[in-house]
Amino acid sequence: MLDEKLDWLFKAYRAACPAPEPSANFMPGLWVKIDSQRSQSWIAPLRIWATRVTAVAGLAAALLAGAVGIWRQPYSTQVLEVRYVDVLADDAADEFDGDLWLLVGNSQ
Amino acid sequence: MLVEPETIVRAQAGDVSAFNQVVTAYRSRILGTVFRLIGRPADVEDVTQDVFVRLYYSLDQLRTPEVFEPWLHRLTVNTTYDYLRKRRRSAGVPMADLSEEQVVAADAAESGKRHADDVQQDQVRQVVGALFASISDEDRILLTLKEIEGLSLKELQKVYKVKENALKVRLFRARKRALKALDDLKDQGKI
Repeated sequence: MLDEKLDWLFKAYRAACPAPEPSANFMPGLWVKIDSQRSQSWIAPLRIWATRVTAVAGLAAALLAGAVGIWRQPYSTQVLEVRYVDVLADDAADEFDGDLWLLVGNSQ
Repeated sequence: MLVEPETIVRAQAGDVSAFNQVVTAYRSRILGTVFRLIGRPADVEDVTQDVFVRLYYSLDQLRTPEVFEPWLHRLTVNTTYDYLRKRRRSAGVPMADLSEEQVVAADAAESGKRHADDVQQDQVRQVVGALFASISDEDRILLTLKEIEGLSLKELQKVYKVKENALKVRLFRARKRALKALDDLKDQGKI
C-alpha cells in the first residue's frame, strides 16, 4: 500500500516538475561564471603556497619554542633553587660562626 | 546523444561554439533534473550553470565522447549534492515545512487564483519535498535519478561507478528509508 503510494508520488512529482525554460540570461550568466573562475584560477596556486608557508612558519616557531624551552630549563631550575631565604640563611650562618668563635674564645 | 561525438571532441579542444552547442543541447534536460533534485525553482538556473561551469573546466578529463552523458549526470549529481549540503548547513532546519506550505496552497485554492491541477501539483511537490527533507541527500539523489528521472541500473552504474549488486543494495535501503519517512509523515497527519 505504502509502496504504491510512493511510486505514485514519484510519478506525480515528475509531472509536477517539468523542466523550466532557461532565461535569456542563461548563456551570458554562464560565461560570466566561467570567466570569473578563470580569473580566479591564478589565485589558487598562490593560496596553496601561502598555506604551505604558514604551515612551515608555524612548525619552525614550534621547534624554536621547544629548543628555547630546553635550553632555558637548567638555568630556570638554578634560579628556583637559589632563593632569597637561602641567601639569608647563609648570611645568618656566617654571623653565627663568628659568635661561636667568640664564645669559644671566651671559654678559653 | 543529443550532440554528435565530434562536437564534444571540438569542445574538448577549446572550440567555444562547440561548447555552446553542447550546453544548448543539454541545458533543458539538466534544468529539469536539477529542478527535480533540489525542488527549489529560484535556484535551478544557478545550479544548472554551475554544472556547465564544471563541465567546461573538466571536459579535458573525459576520455571518450561516448561516455559523455553518464559523465554529465555525474557532474550534475556532484553539483547538486554540494548545493544541498550547503543549503542544509545554512538552514539548519528541514528544507520543506509542509504545514506552512499547505496553508499557502490552501489559501491559493480558496482565492481561486489557480486551477485545481496546479493545486494538486503544488501538494505533490510539498509532500515529496517534505519526504526528501526527511531522508539523506544521498538517498534523495539516488531515488530521484532512479524513480523520477527513470535512469536504468546500467546508467546508474556508470554515474556512480559501482557494481550492480552494490547499487541494488543502496537502492533497496534508500527506498526503505523513504517508505519509513512517508509512514512518519502519514502518522503526523501531513499527508
